Order: sequence, then C-alpha cells, then structure tokens
Amino acid sequence: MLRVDNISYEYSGTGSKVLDQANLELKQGEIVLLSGPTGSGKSTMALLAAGILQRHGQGLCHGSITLGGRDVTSIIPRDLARELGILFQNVDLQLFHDRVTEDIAFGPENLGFSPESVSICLERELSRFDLCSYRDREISTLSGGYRQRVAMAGMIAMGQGYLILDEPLAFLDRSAGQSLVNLLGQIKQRIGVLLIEHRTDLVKAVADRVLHLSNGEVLPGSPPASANNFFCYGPGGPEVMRAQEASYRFPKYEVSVLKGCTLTLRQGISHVLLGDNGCGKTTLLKVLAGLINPLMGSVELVASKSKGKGPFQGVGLVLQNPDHQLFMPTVAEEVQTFARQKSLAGQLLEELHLDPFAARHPQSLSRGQKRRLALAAILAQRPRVLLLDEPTVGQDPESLKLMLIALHRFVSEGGCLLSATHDYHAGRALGQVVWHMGDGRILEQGGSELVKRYFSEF
Amino acid sequence: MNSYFSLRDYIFVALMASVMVIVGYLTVPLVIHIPIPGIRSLVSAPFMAVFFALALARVEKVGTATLIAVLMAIVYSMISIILAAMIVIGGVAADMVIGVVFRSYRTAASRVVAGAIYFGGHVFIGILLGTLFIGGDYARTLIRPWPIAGMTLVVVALAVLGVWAGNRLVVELRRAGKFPQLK
Amino acid sequence: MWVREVHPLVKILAAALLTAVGVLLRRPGSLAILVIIVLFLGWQGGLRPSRRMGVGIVIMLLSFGLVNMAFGTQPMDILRNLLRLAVLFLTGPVFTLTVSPRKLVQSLRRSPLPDGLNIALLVIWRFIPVLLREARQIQEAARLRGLRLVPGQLRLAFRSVVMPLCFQSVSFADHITVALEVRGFSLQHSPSIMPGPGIRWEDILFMILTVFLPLAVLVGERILCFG
Repeated sequence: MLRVDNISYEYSGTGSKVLDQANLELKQGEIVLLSGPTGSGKSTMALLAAGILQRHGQGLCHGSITLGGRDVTSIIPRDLARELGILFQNVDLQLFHDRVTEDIAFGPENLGFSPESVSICLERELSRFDLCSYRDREISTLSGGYRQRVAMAGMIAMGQGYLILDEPLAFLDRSAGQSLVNLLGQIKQRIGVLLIEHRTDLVKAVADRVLHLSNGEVLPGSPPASANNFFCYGPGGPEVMRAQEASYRFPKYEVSVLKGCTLTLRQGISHVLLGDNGCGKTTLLKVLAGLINPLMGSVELVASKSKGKGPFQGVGLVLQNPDHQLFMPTVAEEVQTFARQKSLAGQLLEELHLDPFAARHPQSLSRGQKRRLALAAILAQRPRVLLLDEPTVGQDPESLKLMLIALHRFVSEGGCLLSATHDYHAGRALGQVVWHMGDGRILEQGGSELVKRYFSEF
Repeated sequence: MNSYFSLRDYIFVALMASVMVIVGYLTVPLVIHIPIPGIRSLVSAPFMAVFFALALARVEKVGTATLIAVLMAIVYSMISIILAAMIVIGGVAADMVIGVVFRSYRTAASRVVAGAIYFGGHVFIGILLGTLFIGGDYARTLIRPWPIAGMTLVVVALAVLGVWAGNRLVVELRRAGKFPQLK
Repeated sequence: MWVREVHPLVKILAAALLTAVGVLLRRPGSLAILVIIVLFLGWQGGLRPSRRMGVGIVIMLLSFGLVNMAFGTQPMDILRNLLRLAVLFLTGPVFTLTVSPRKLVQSLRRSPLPDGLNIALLVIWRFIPVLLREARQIQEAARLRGLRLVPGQLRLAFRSVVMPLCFQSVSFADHITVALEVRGFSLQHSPSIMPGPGIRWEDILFMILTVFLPLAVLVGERILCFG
C-alpha cells in the first residue's frame, strides 16, 4: 500500500503550506481520483508520493509517505522506480528514444533486466497498450494520446505496482481522453493508480474512490462546483477582420492544416473557436495574427496600417505557453515596456491582481499568474483584435474569473476577441459567436447553444 | 563508485550543449563560405558563451568545460574531426587554467576566463584550417603573430561579452528561484 | 543502401582517418581519389543533394578558389587546396547523414564510454529538435510583440529570445533529470544492453574503402615522392 500520513509541505520562500496534514491511501487494484482546482496541491502531492520533492525540492516537509511499510525517502530512486511510477503532464520530457520499442525497453534496461526479460516485457506492454502496429514507428509521428500510451507502457514495463498520473488529460482532447480512461480501466487489475485530475467529468466513472484537495487537506468526494461565469455582451460593431478561404500547409507536409476557412470578426464581439486537438485552431490564430501567410485565400485587417509581411499591427495573440512570451526582469516592466499608456499598465496589473508581484521576476510566478501576466502585457498594447490560444489551460477558478472579467471589459470597450478553447466553462463564458472547427475547416457557426451541443456530445 | 558529476550535472550540461549546437546551426551557415579564419567563432561565440556560462555556473566543478567540450566534440565529429579536436583542446585548456587559479567555477571571474580560453583557443585551429585550404601569400600572411593575435582578441572579446551576459542571466535565474542560491 | 548498415563507430573512426590522410596528402591526384571514395559512399548511402545544397557547395569552393588566386597561389596548389577542402568538409556530413542518431547512440552505449556521457548524448540527440521547436515558438512570440533585430530594439529583441530559451532549457533540465530517475536510470548501475550486431560484410567493405585504400594512396604517394 502507498500511504500518505499527515503530510504538510511548504515551498521555500512562500510562507504558506500547500498541503496541511493531508492523508491518503492507495492499494493495488484500485483507481483513486484526486481532484481539486489548479494550485490546490495536487501536483505537490504527486511529487511527494514519488519521493521527488523530498530529494530535489527546497521546501519544508513534515509527515511521512510509506510504500509497503517503507519510507519512500529511505528507498534509493532506482529501487523506488521498480515499485512506483509517475507520469507528468508533459509526456514529451519523459520519452527518451526515437522509436516506440526502444523507449518502452528503456526502463527495464535501466533496471538491469536481462535481454530476454526486456523482450518479454516489451511484447506484453505493446499488446496491453495496443501498440503492436506502432512498434517501429517514430514517436514524433504519433499523436499526443499515443505518445502518452507509450510513456505509460514504458512505466508499467518496469513491473511497477503503483502509478501516479499527474493531469494526464491536460493536453488531450475529448476522444483521446476517453481512450485513456478506457485504458486505465484495463490496467488497474494489478496496479494501484493515483489519478490526479481536475477534469473529473471524464474520469469519475472509472475511479473506485474520489477524493479532493481543499485547504491542503484531502477530503472525500468531489470539490464543490465553481460558479459559472456568465457575461452579457453588446450587439457588436463593424467588421474588423476577414478571412476568406484561408488555406495553409506546413512545408514538407502533404496534408493541409487549414482548408479554406472563412470567417469574419466584428468589433465589440467575443468569438470562440471550438475543436479537438490537431484540427487547426492554433494555425488559424497564427494566420489571423499575420504570423504566417495563407498559401491560398486571404486575411485582411480592416483599415490596417500594416505593410508587407509580418504580424498585423493592432492584433495581439496570447500563446498557449506564456513562458515563451515573458522576458523582462520584473512583472511591472513586462506590462509597461510595450504599453500604450503607463496608467493603463498600472490599471491592468491591479485588475488582474498582479500588483503585489510587480517587483518580482515573471518566471517566479505560478502558471495561472504567468498567463494573466501574458494577457496583461498584450492588453496594455491596446490591440484592436485579441486572439487567445487555450486561455484556460492550467487556470485555477480565481485566476480564470479575473481573466474573464478583464476580457469582458476589453470587449465592452469595443475590442474584438477570439478565443480558441476546448474548455466548456471558457466556451460558455466567452461564446457570443461560436465556430466549430474540424479537420482544418469551419464546420458550423452558432452561439452559446453550439457550445452546449459541442460539449454535450461527450 | 560515486561519479564525479551527478546525473543532474550531466543533464544540465547536455541541455546547455544542445542549445550551443543549435546556436551554431543557426549562425555558422551564414558565414561558412567566407574564407576568413575564425569567422565562424566570431558569429557563434557571443551567443554560445551565454549558455557556456550557465553550465559552468550551475555545475561549478572543474572539468565542466571539458565535459561540455567532449559532448559537443562528439556531435561535431559528424561534421569535422578537426573541429571536434579544436573544441576538446579548448575545453581542457580552460579547465586546466581554472583548476589551478580559481579551483571552481563559482565566481563570475572564473567563468569569464574560461570562456576567453575556450573560444579563443578555437581561433588557432581555425587559422590552421584556413591555411590548409588557401596557400600562397594568404598562408604566409596569416601564420604570423599579429593576424593570429588580432583575430583571437576579437573572438575573446565577443566571448567575454557572451559570458558576461550569461553571468547576468544567472543572477536573474537565482531571483526567479530557478538556480540554487550561492551558499 | 549497404552504407547505412555500417556500424556507426566504424564510420566515426573512418572519418577521423580519412580526415588525417586528407591533411597529409599533397598531390591533387591522390586527393581526387579520396574525394571520389567519399562521393561514391555518399551515393551508395542514398544521398542526393538538393539543388540548393549543390549551389551552396559550388559557391563555397569558388570563394576559396578565388581567394587563392587573389593571393597568388599556383594553379596546381589551388586545385590541391580545393580537393583537400572537399575531403575535409564532405567526409563528416556524408558519413553522418548515412547513420541515424539512434543507431549512433545505441553503439555508444555498447562502448566503454561512462554512462553519464552516454545518457548526456542520448539527451542531446533526443532534445535538440524539442529545443529547436521551442526556439522557433519563442521567436514567433517575439515577432508578435513587434520586436525586430533593428537598431533601437536590439537589446529587447535579444532578451526576448535568449531569456525564455534560457529559462525553458533550465526547466527542461530539471524535468529530464527527474524523469530519468523515475525510469530507473542511475549512474551507479549500468543498464543492461541489448546485444548488437557483430562485424558484417558491410563493415569490412567500408573499411577497405575508407581505411586501407586511402592508406595505400598515402603510402603510394610517399613512395613516388621519395622513389
């Protein structure tokens, strides 16, 4: 059994405990779902259970975590790896080889399995995870869902009895997520799985027990539902941007990512783009921003002063990963450097609750704070059109609420907003005009009823 | 038997070496056809030196420059064995000097000196290579103290600038909590 | 494409030897033989340079040739220098492009290199494409903020690329270290290695072409010089 007894953890320099006397048990043959909003301590629990924070972290830890009666901190990492595995959100950082078979064999090889045993483990996991037809494939050619399977197979090939999955659905769309959940049901027979996830709707059905984190404690059941954010929008104004039959294909690829997309963005309207991973949402946003030119068709920013190639002036794009956009030495400078007015910069910092961190380094912020900061930096430039790529990934409810309020104000003041998302709450809150995208095409257009219909299919 | 470098050290150096290879990949093709000795170091040194400094600052141990050099040499051996040899010589020379004078890479000064030796050393081989491919008055002109010293000084100055930028980055990394604080 | 099946370590050693012989040879005729060997092996390995690459190589050779002429080098010496340039700069890439990094890393794992060095090389090969992708996305983010490498913006433009790249690579390093431990890797315990192939006819043929033949050419040249 994996047992967490009265664990408390405080990250260095924060002054507050993320976990406070938390308790948890995990037996082999069961799936325990641990949910809670972002920032509630789920990942901290995962890292502590795997003994990682105790080895590599600089925080204060009290309490004990035992595996089969032994303290995890007293087991050397290699021996611990034989019994317990952990899969992080970013699976790509856990895959070390080019080919599927080589990566799955990596763990058993490291543990000193004989070549015959490695072959047996390999065949077993290829079969269990339905990867036989992918055995010689390059991992880089697999979808996100299949890369995750390879990573899980590589863990279980080591013969572990316990597996911790830290937000495995974070980067998967609905169909890939469902596929993963089905897989979990198959592997749980001899393995104990601690499934850490805040998108509980998909995984509740397969969990044997449901727990949630609240104020650092582990409590039974699901967390209380967060209030939905609803906003009222105005009727909108004239057209700001037009895409006409925009098509795009990446160099060296035969298949087009965008296949004749036509849409119109209007001033004072909040638009939403829904679609699964790989349907072309991000590429469409980049084309609309002027970062890439469509190979066929056109994109026009009405009354634009932009000349020549390059991003449109007056269009702001907040990318999925805010770490790519933050580069100044302090939070305040990040917003002020490109701000149209300094007063606007100050106002945005206050509105998004970033003013207490003004002198801090942007990279010392939490994920949710960084995303708010990236948004503030772009809003400070007063764009005519604001494009958001998956604004809700990794957001806690408080952070999300602050962002939605700021976005609502932007739209109310005449800004044009387009958000690409596969999150229901963001879709409901921002979906005044909604497009459903699939296979590089705009499939249908609607309003908030389209959001409900799109998400109710799953 | 305990390894001199920890797993963390090896992986950090590997990532920094990867970025240095990428920098070379992006900058050197722009000038590879220009037959000026040391020109490749001229364009790549200031950027590579930033990440060279980060690796030294994180690991701190003498031998780190050689480790970086060996990793890059194995990668570059696929382009040119001479280039690989040049890189290893630079790394070993840097470690030897720092080992005697500073004993570790804890201080910013030690990293500056290491960067100067590592990147400056590349120029000699670059000049030798140039004279192999271009003979006549070119070779006679180059194999003299002043041209060698001149080009070396320029590359060293650029590398020092890069290490200085890297040292500033280390301060920011510490402020952001991504680098261990100095004890 | 038998050249692709040759053991990667044999190729590295052959490249080193060919390079050394290329430095020592003096006659254009001898160097031409080496160039032909390298081009033949590249052809056998399935390498077909693109037009752009071909133009690039021609420009490079022409540049060196013209500089030689400008400095008063004799025609035969110019030819010798260009052929030597071709040997030294073609050998590495031709041999590299006919071996996959995966096979190279597998071969290195079976060599006496320390495990730490092996895992570092594995990480380099695996994560260079990941870091390149990150660098491109970071450049896109900078372009979106309107930053260009123009006077007045140089410092900010430099910062906008170097800072995020630096923080991402530091973050990756920490994650990868933990991920390796979780996959059971330890410097104190060598991993078991799947048995590799023994010496095959491709390796022997390759060695004849890249080791014995160039050495014969070198010896022959010396005999002709001194004879």
